[in-house]
Amino acid sequence: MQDLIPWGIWIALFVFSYFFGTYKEKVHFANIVEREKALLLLPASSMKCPEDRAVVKTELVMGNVVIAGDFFKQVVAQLASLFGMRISVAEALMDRARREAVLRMKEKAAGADAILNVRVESMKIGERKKITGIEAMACGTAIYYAK
Amino acid sequence: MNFEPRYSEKNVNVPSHNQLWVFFRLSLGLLGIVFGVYLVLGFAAEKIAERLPPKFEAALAGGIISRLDHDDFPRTREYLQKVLAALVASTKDLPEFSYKVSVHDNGAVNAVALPAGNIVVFRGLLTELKSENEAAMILAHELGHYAHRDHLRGLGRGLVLLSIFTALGLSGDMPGFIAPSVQTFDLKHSRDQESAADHFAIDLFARTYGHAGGTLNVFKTLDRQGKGVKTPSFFSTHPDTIWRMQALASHLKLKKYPQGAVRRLPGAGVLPFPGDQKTNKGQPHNSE
Repeated sequence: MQDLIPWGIWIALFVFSYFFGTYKEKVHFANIVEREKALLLLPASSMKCPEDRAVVKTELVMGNVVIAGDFFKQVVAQLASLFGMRISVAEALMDRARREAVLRMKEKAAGADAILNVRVESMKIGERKKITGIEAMACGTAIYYAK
Repeated sequence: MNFEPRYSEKNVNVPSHNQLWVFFRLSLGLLGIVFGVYLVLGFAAEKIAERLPPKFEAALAGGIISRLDHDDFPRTREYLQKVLAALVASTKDLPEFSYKVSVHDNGAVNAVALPAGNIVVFRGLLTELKSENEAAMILAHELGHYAHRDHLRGLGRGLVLLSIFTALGLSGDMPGFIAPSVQTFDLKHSRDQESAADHFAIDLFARTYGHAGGTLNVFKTLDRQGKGVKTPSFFSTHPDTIWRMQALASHLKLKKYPQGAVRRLPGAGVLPFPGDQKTNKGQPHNSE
């Protein structure tokens, strides 16, 4: 019977992290969509040249986020890595992290007319094959045109 | 160039399928591969084990035995060695080893057959035994494992399983659900080996003592002892005790062995013998 206890703990953790992680992901995506729509009028572009207008101020803005990969995602990622398949659980995680970082950068540049030269960097946090978390950072130059 | 704000709800970067389905698909694939490799290599290990010469086995066993070669109850061991010698003398089906029994001061209700004819009986099991017939049945059961080469098969399969997981780099937390699955599969194999050893034991007992009286008592004792901690039979290495007794009872009927007297244990009738002195652990015992 004692041999079954680690099984029970593992399964409980796996099921809990699947349902809780899926719920949190859904909520986060809904929040991202809502904020992206609200900030749609502030363009963030990888272009380096501003419009042919007088610029009164420029500013470096950045947004940074770290999102944890839950137990379920870690297990599926390890399994997928054995077969050389797409780690689709990590794709959703990366998407959330990058979009959240861009949103935070935009929120930092409140009042700007545009953000130019935008760069997005991301990296995995965790030893070996484990995805403990994903870090994403977005940075750019906020431009304030003369009115 | 004009900026036209437009928002697309469609997200091509996030997969739309259920991740749980991905998990099941990958798990089944991995389990299939592991089972396949395990079956093939396990079969190969078994075949090699069956053909391993006793001399080679004795050389291999040296390392394992030296650690366990100590004797906690010398007089009890001496008595068990006599019982074992009588059993070994009445069969020719055993590999040519110098069979030795040693008694360990451990509460486990178990006995193990180590390579090269070294049987270890734990104190926990001895205290449950009520007669010489029961002690002889335990030893005969372990001799059955030598006759069928089970002790080496177990080692071979264990090694194969360990090799697979090491090769996959899955010695961390992830295979927690896979490793027991494979082991559970192997337990069925183990239960078959235990049943075969039971049958061998009863035949050997009848050949040595001229009857099969009191042989089933050992299972009754084990059943009583195991009532507290009931493990589902599928997860157990040994078959369910009731099922074991039924199988042996029908074997007894089939063979028509006479029912003889139950021999009492010498002295106070308990094992290990009261006042039996322990020697220091690690000292090699004198073989008979």
